[in-house]
This record gives sequence, C-alpha cells and structure tokens, in this order.
Amino acid sequence: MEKSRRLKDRKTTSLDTDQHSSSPPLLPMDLMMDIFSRLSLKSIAICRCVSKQWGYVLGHPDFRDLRLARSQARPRLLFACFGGNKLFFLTSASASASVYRRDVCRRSSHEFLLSPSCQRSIYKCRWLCLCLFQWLSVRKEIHGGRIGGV
Amino acid sequence: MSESNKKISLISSEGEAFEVSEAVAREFEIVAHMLEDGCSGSSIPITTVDSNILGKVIEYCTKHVEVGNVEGNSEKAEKDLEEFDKRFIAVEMNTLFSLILAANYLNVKGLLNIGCQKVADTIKDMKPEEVRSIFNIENDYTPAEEEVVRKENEWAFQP
Repeated sequence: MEKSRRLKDRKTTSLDTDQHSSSPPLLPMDLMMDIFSRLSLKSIAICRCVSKQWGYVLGHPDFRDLRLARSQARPRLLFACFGGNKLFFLTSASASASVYRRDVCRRSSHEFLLSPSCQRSIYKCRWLCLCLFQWLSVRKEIHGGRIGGV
Repeated sequence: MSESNKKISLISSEGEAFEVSEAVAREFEIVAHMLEDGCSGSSIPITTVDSNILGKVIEYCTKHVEVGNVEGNSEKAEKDLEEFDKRFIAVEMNTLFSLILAANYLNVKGLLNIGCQKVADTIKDMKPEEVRSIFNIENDYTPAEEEVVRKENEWAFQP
C-alpha cells in the first residue's frame, strides 16, 4: 500500500477518531441491534438495565425475532443433566455451523465444545441423561421423537 | 503488487490519498459498485472516513486480498488470517467504534462482523454501569424504575 500525505491538518467529521476524545462515536441502532443479537441472554438481561431505550429495544418482539434468526444460524448443543436433586441445563460454546459439524464428527460426546466451567459441572453430575439438540442437522430426528440419550 | 494492476486512489476526509490496487478497493463494496457502474475515475473520495481509520480499513482489506490470492489456501493461512483479525481488532473502544462505522459505510462485511463481535465480547461480562461508560450513555431510569427493571432481570446479576 502506498500513500501520500497531502494535508497534515485534521478536520473532524462524524466518523473521525480522536484517540484522546472521551466520548466515543455513536453507533446507529441497526448496528447496536447487530451487536445485541450476539450477546447471551444473561448479558441481554443486564443490558436492559442500562437505559430506557436499551430496555425497550431489548424487550421488543423484533429483537427476539432477530436473535432467534441468529441463534438458528449458529447451532449449539443443549445438555440437560441431573446433579443431586437438581436438573441442570448447559449449552456448548457458540460455534459456526461449519465448525460445529466438523467437531461433532470428530469428537466423542464428552469432548464437545464446552467451556472449562461447563465441563467441570458435567463431570460433577451423576448422570448425563439427555443430550443434544442441534437445530439444523438433527432437527428431523427431534421432530420424529427420536432424541438420543448419551 | 504488479505494475499492471490498476491503481485506485481513495481520498480520506482530510484529503489524504491512499493508493491501492483495484482488488483491494473492490473489497469496499461501495467502491466496487461505483467501479461497476463506471461512475468513478481513479480517484474516489471517502469523505466520511478519516485518514487514521481509512488506513486501517485498507490494511485489513489488503491482508484479506493477499491471503485470498494464495493458491491452494491452506488451513494454516486461514489460521494466520484469524490471528491477524484478532490482533487487528484489539484496539481501544473509540477506534473500534469508528472502524465499525467505516466498515458499515464502506460495506466491508468481514470487518463489520469482527468489529461487532469484538464489542459484544467486550460488554458480555460487564455491569450496566460499565456498559454505560463504554457507550457514553446516561442512565435515564429513575431510581424507582431502575429498581423495577433490575428486579425483573435479577437472575442475570447472580454469579
């Protein structure tokens, strides 16, 4: 990349970045929605407490639809297991569909993409009774009532 | 970069010219459309993006074009590109926001994606007060309203 500097004086515009500026540039709401749709439910619940506007958009049905669409595009595993007298639900780490499918083929059941804390929780459980929900590739089997146990 | 490659000058908001190959310029979808429609010469003003950010976006696109041009793209090259993206996006928040705005305006989808993901990753474990300070948002809930909304979402505050 070659570049020639024509002007040294900087003038500010809406997209200008000033490293020393205290106020960040404002992101429009469509970009904020994109960011929100990548958050976990827990983070979304916390973000609802940030301001009235955030509380409104994060509780709006349009946002739920957006998040559902994104969630279906990124399948994850849902584990339900008994620990003591309680039933725990755990999900695997988020992964793109292609990574997910590759890993599902390659790994054995206890090695799915779980965070260390999830893995510890699983090992503590007495039984891992119910596994796996994969919205895209296993969907047919679930609808057909053939949910597999591990 | 071979001599035969057509060069395009992208002009920042300050009037600074960045000379790039056409392949790199086409990574900006907005520029690609201009070139296809034949409504631009070899010099294209990007009036809403400053030199600092435009330079960074060009750096990102150049790297991605270089890797895309390698024959028989290997897993290692993909991994290197992931590492590059990770390093590239590790900037302070104001720069990150400006990169996202520029990527949105110029329609550089890959950069927009990693930028939005970086913001999401940054705020995911934060408290409302910390999120407000990142986005410079004023808390417009009254104390009573805030208590109600916190109560509604109480489960999320538990460790």
